[in-house]
Formats: sequence, structure tokens, C-alpha cells
Amino acid sequence: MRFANAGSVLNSVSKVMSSLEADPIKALVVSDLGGMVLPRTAIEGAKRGIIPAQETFFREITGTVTNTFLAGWLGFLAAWGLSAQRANPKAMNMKAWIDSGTLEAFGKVTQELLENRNIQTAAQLREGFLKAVLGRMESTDNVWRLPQFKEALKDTANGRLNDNTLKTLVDRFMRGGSRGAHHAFNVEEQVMQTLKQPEYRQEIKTAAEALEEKFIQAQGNQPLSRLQQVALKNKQIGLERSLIARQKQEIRKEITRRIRTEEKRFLQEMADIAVKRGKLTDEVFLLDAKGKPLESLGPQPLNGMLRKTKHYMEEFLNRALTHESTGKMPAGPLNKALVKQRMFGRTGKSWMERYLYPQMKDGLLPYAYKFKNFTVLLPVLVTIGIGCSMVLINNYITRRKTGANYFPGEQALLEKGLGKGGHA
Amino acid sequence: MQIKPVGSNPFVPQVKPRPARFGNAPAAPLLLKALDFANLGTSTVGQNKLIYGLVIGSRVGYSRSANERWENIRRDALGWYSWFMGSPLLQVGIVTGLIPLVAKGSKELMLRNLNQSASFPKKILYTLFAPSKLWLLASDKQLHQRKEQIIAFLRQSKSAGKMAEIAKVDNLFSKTIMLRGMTSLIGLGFTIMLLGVGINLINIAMTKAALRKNQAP
Repeated sequence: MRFANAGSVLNSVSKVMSSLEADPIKALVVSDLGGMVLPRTAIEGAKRGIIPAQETFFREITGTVTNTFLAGWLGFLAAWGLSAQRANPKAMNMKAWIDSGTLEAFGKVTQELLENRNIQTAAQLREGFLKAVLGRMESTDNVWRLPQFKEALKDTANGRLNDNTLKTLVDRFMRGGSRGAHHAFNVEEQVMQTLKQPEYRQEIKTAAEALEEKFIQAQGNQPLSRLQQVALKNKQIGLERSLIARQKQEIRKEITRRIRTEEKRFLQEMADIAVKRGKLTDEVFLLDAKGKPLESLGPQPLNGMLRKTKHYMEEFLNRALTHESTGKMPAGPLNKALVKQRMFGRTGKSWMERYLYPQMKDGLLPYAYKFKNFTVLLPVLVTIGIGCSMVLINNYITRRKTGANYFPGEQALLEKGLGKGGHA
Repeated sequence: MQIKPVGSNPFVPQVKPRPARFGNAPAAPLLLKALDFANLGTSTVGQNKLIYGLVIGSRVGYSRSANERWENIRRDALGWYSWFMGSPLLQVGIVTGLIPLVAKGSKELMLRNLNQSASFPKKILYTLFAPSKLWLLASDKQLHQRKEQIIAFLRQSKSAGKMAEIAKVDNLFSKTIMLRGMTSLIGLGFTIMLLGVGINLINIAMTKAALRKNQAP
């Protein structure tokens, strides 16, 4: 009975530990609060006194917040604040976040496929991408490598998906399978179809009429000369373009918001297929073209890789393949140079424009990297600034309480006595 | 009068033709690769390493006395190393050294060796600063998934001893999963004891010794 209880206790402990291991940030918070904040404050209070304990508590608590949470919060705020049209003209969806390392790897796969002579159409490129990425995921564990389980895991094709499961997943991502359900959408086509709805055309018509009225009033309500009519027409064209750009951005945001909500079930289903039929596990490596794990990426969660694959298709690849005015993908041969420009082209005259400011004319990958300067590097910089100023605030609080700028840890020890060989 | 070609006139700006800039997938900036979010809104371990490292620098830089400086260096530098590298290294040590003594077969399920062909100096570097490049411990969830996959295969088998085989696999994986959890617990416990308790006591003792030395006649 005693051993059975010990076994169930160990199992419970094991379950708690496994949930911590699954989330490194959760593990850091637990070890920080339980392992640093509380014991350190208690020891300082017992061994030195109240002022050192207060300093320790402030130092450790602010350390936990700045190290573990602040950069994430500021990144979220920066992305939310910069999601307005001016800062994000391409309306990239912030919830479809792909880290830079994976984005670079996916970009290289795309380039590899574009340079492949067997890939001639948009459908081949998309399917090729899915086969390349999903087919190059290798389970990080050692179990599939052990000879005693080779037979049981023979479906796994050297730690990777077998051909049948790969085909199923590619089909589901491309078309939603036989049920035609959720898949990696062509968002641009949906945007252009929504744009045709009467309310959007009406908005443009109303704005153009209002502009005409204002223009005529500005000319003193006189009949317009030929030159003035041309000037009015140009203004109306400019207004229509900017209105359409804004409408497209809003429609795209709305559509991608809906897709993000609906895709959770789809992604879970794909992960279940990959694990149960494809014999992958929860954590995978992405391999390069030669079959070696990409060291810069390291182990990635399987759910994360599937999510990023779908988001890359929707936010980058499909987008680069669609016709601008219809949103449809060409059925015939690809204009590979155009696709490369849309994916990889970097525009701008000055260094700032080329590497810092996201612009509408940029290729999708350089655009994403430029945008991340403000949503990743800036929040981290600000967090570092705040974190490094905490020591000044802590010292200031002690100075206000005690009236002097000194290390209270020393004074406290001197007052309590240095022990053997020291003064009382 | 000799007419010089336009290209040689220093007052005419030379326009170099720009090479095609959209031929290749651009490499992500190194800083972005190191610091980017996996999911927006959640800090990453990479960001944590950099931020904590610089915060330690600020604490050392703004120390109010030599004793405080040394306390910060001992506590925070050790904390940084132990948190990011020490604990994973300790867990690998437990799995390679202790677990084979108590459970046969569990180590091979848990541990995967990587970069076996790396040079010796590189292996030392990885051991000290990037243990995950040499050893990868399977997660609890991975072990559960493998157990289910193998037992599902064995259930389809028509051999006479399949129930015994299933029981054997179940037992091995269950024991391994429990040991995996214990390994993490020991790693966490050691980190807490060292950083939360041990280093504080060491700091107090060493500051006392320094103060005694200052006061010695």
C-alpha cells in the first residue's frame, strides 16, 4: 500500500514536471518565484534584516517580470499599435506569426522550388512546398532509432512521415481533403470577391461625389474648365485607389481573423494524423535538402511547425502567386521572376528604406523582417532599458528610507556581528 | 582639345547598374533570428538570456561597494549559467549516469545524442554553453506518444505472446516517463537549492569574511 501510494505520488509529480517542461517560460517563472524570490527574501530577512530583505524582494520580483514577461507584452503592444494601415500597408496578420529562423528556412525552400525546372505552375509550387516542409520533419526522440522498435515504427520512414500520410496532409492543406473543409486559403481571392460587394462600391461612389462637390465649391460653383475636369478626375482616381487599398486591408484583416479562429480544430486534426498515422511525435527537427537537421532552428513543436506551414502558405506563398486584380492563381506556367520579386524583392533608395521601413512595394519576406524590427528588436531594447534601470530605483528606495547611499547588506552584518574572529 | 569620355569626368555622377535584388531568399538578420518570438506576446528563452545578462551587468555596474559587486557577480553570474545551462547539463548527467543503474533500457528511450562527429573543442564548447546541441532529452508527451504508437502496432499482431509483449512495453515506457519527471524535478530542485539558498549563504559568509579582514588590526 505504501509503495502504491509512493508510485501515485511520483506519477503526480511526474505529471506536474511534464507540464512545466512543455512550457519553458512556465518553468522559468516557477523556478524564479519559488526558487529565487521567496527563499532569497527569507534568508536575507533572517540573516541580515528588513532593509536587505526589501531590496532583495524588489530586485527579484522586478527581475522575474522584466526577464520573463515584459518583452512579450511590449512586443504584443507594438504589433497591435503598428497594425494600422500606415505602418502595415500589406496588412500582415499578427496572429500568423512566424519566427525569423523558420521564415528564412521556408524562404530557402521556396527558392529551391522556384529554381527547380519540374515546378512550372502555381499548384505544383504550393504542393512542392508542402511536400518539402512536411516531408522534412523528423521526430527529435531516439525511440524510432532503436532496433527493438523498428518493426513497430516501420511506418515512420526514418523518423519522418511516410508517403501515404504525407500525401494525406498535403491534400488536406491544399484542398481540405474530400470534405473540402478548412485548408491553407487563398486569402487574396476571398478579399477580391468581398470587395465586389455593393457596399464597398457605394462607399467609393459616395466619396467621389463628395470630392466633386467640394472641388466645384472651391472653384466658386462655376462650370469646370477642361483642365479643372482633368484635375478633378485625377483626384478622384487617387481617392479611389487609397479607398480600395484601405478597404482591401480591412477586409483582409477581417477574413484572417475569422480564419485564425476556425483553424485551431484543423491544425489539431493535422497533428493527430501526423502522430497517429505518420508516427511523428510532439517535437520535430526541420531537415535541410541534404537530410541534416537545421541547427539554427533546433527542435520545434510539431503543432507549431504545422501552424507555421499553413500561415506561410496564406500570408506569403499564396499571396505571391495571385493575380493582383482578381486574387486568383494562374493555372498556366508561372512567371517565376515575378514570384521571386514578390517574395524576395527589397525596395528603397536609402539604407533606412531598404532595411528599416516596411513598404508596399517590398517583397513579402523583406517586408516581414523590416516589420519585425519594430515588433521584436524595439520591445527587447525597451525591456533591457527598463530592466537595467531597476537597480537605480532599488538603490533610490533604500536611500530614501535610510538617508544614505550604501550597501545595507554590509551594515546589517556589522550590526548583527561578524561571528568568530569578528567584532560584535 | 582632347575630348575625354563622360565616364572619366569627376563631376558626372557614376551610376552603377544595380544587381538583381530579388533572385535569392533573403537571410534573416542575425539579431532577429536570435531574439524573435515563437508566438507573439510570449517572451522567449533567447530574449531572456540577453535581457538577464545585461541586467546583471547593470547590477554589477551600479554596485555601491566592492562587497556588493562581488555578491552580484557570484549570485547572478552563477544564476545565469545555472538557469540556462547548468540545469539541462545536470539532467543529462542524471540520465546518463544514474538512470542506467536503476532502470535498464530507459536511458536509450530518453536520450538522443547529436553532433557526434563534431570536433573535440567544439564538443567542449557545446557541453559548457549549449548542451542541447549534444544531447536531447525526450519530453514526457513524446514518450507517451511513442508508447501509444508501439502498443497500437502490437495490438494488431496475431502472435500468441502479444499481451506479454504489450505489458513489457507498457511497463518500460511507464517507468521511463516517471523517471523523466523525476529527472526534471531533481534538476529544478538542485537549481532552487543552489540559487535560492546556497548562493545566498555563500554570499553572506564571504562578505562577513571580507568585513572581518577589513576590520582586522
